Amino acid sequence: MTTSAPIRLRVFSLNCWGIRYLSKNCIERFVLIGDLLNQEQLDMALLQEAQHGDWFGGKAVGKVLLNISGLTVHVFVTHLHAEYCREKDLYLPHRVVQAWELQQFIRHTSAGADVVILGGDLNMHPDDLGTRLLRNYTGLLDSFSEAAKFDGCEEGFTYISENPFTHTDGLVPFGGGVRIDYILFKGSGEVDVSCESLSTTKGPVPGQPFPYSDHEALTAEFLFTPTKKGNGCSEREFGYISDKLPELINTVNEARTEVKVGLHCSERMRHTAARTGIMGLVLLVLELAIAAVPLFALGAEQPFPKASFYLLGALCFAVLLSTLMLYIFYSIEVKALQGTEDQMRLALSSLHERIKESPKVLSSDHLRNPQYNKDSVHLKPDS
Amino acid sequence: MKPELRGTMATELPAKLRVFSLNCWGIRFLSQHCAQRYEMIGELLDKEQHDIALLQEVWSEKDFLFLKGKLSSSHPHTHYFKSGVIGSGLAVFSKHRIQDALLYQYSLNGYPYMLRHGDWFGGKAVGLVIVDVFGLKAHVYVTHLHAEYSRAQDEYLPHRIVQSWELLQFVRHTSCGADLVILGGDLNMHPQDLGNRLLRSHTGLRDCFTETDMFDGCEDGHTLIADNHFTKKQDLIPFEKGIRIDYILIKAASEHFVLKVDVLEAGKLGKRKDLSEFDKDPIVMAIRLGLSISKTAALVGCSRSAEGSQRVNMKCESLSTTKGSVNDKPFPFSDHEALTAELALLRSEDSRQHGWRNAPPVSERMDVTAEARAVVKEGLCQTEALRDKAVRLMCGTLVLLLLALLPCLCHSSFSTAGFLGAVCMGALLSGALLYLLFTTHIKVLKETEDQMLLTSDELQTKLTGCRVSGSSSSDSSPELQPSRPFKREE
Repeated sequence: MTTSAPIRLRVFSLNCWGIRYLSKNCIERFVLIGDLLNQEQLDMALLQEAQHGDWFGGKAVGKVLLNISGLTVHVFVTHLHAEYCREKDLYLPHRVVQAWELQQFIRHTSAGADVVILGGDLNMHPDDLGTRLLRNYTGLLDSFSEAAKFDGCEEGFTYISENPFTHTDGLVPFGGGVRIDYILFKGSGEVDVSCESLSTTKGPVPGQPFPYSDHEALTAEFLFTPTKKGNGCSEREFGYISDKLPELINTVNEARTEVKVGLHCSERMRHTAARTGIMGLVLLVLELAIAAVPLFALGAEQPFPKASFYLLGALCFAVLLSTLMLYIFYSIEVKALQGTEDQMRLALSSLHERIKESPKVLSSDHLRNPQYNKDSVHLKPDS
Repeated sequence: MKPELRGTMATELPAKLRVFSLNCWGIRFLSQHCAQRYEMIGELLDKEQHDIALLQEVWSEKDFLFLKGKLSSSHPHTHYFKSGVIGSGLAVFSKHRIQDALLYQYSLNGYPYMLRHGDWFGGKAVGLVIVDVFGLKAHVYVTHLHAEYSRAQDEYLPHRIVQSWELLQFVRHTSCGADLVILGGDLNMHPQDLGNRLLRSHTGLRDCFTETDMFDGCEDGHTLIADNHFTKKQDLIPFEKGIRIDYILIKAASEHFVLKVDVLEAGKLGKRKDLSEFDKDPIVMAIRLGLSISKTAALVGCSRSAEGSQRVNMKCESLSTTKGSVNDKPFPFSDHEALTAELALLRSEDSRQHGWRNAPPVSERMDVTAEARAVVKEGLCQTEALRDKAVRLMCGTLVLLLLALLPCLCHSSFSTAGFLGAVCMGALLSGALLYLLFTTHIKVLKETEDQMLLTSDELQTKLTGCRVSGSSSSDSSPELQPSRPFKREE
């Protein structure tokens, strides 16, 4: 085993700001990006934002599986919902749900992986709830925190005021920049992964009229070394480290609270939409009733006010249609939030079970719980 | 979670697992005798004490909560999957603890304007629950696919193929660490339909009906039959007696031992000449049941191997369906028949007599993927045509608006102008929404086509790669299959 040579991997990540007609110098920048990728000898480049508009841009996580010298490497690239206003973040529940769904996706599809890499624009600060949830639950490590060598913007910022394309006003309270793009990684029982170096672009590019994008680009160099233990068992479950279990439980609880708040808001909005719709319907019915009255009148003393009739009718109809669509939209949102809350509740009970079974915890008497699950006759020897 | 040496853990094998699946037809106000049928279903589940019950079309949460309450002692672990506007209708009731749940909603599910069919509003999805069964990790999937309204001219065929594809991808990518894989639900497809063949060939899941030792139920295992009080005979045409569209599919991890080989050692033996091109290194091979790890390792001249799966096998001992009417009850549980499978869990040594478990040959998988890809391409053309129609609708409306408004304004007939204006605005809005809808559909179809192409290329590589290693081995051993069923092929 000691004779096998370690493997190096260079990974690149960039939010390209590729909104046609809207982002500046789009075409020229893509040419620059193409040249950069060509000359940089990268093993992998993960790009985000060939499209924009949060709702229309179907934010997702993509996954590719690679076989690099016999090792299975699972690579995820993603782009989460943007944060438009930190003080009153309307989209926080959405982002928490996205972070939750991201960690679920990664955990459930990486059970056989030797190496996992996640790159992308998470639109979250390193200590935000969503980032903590993602890292704690998956056990992924931040290349910025782990890198042996770092060369780039101070504090690893990836959206900086020095970049001519950025909106600098929003960055002032954060000291001129924010770190919202990441390359996260993790090894396995078979392979140790270490981050040898991380570098970012620093705004303007020497020799070029403008930067590659409004975001800075990340380049990480990883080293894969086979583990000494190599007991031959690939990991059956991908996830958190047992020591961090209490912290994880707290994070999931925090996330669950946010989701409940979002759910509450969503249900209220849906209720408002329903009420407005019903009002529109009532108004329409009322109007039709009024219109019907002259028919019963003997003789046409008053001319029928056609114009106002049609206008009011059109208004009611428009109100009905739009509230119907809003109701459908909010229903989808409510269901998604409820579904996530259910999953979180399930996850929490699983995590609590693990903590009970953990050998460290078993030794402390005050945590001994007489109630046990009738299914698990054997206490699992692991965890 | 440290790597578990599950292979050496004592589990209480052999054991039996009873799985139940039923499309409950729980559309409040529309399906008949809904409340009474849920009572009956609750009684049945309480009496039968299945290990896992997978229900579809439980559209109303109230009905789910009713069942949950009724089964709180027999099935304390439950999960209700919520998605779409009305919900996915998928529910799981389990005797065993549910560790985790995951939901994946299909990207294509009909059209919102097809109100008569209504599939779009039920967020069709596949739900996964990870259940701890006798110390083993069971990944249990429950799903409900888009209905087939016209077999002769299935306008939803591309959607259903995309759903089948997404289902098989979901199962493949999330069942890596599983000891057992069970999939139950209403696939709305006949056994030899393209979507079904696609699903089974890529996942390696086996149909309980074809595998079972004992079967008791409707002829040919039909799950939607003419004899059922609730089914409309015209829906079954041209099939007089019935159709088989509900399934329980199973698979156990140890059917294919996964052998991870130290490629650097293999490279020294000169097995593959192009090891330097890292993206052309499919090294992982699977052996059929019975061949020992050490013998396989010796075959490829490797000294190091890793076993990545559990020594468990699963077999369907018996399968039964309801037969339309229910004893002592005025009507059946649903318009669909219920499936009950009794699965035996055995140690893999005990099951050696069952012989080789074949992974579907690579060529078969390539053929079925090519067939599916053709359907998706066809769907892409159709959707692009629909999108063009939407654009034409919008343009036409704009022209009409201009043409019609001008003379109206000249004659200052405000009311007519207003009326026409309203109609045109409505048409414009609908056109714009349809445009957006079809654009998303086109993106999904293109993505699916790309994934299928990727898979086809991988299978092609495997096909050519397999022959190379097969011919160079001097043993008279069975052909080594380079597939890793739970993992995406490299």
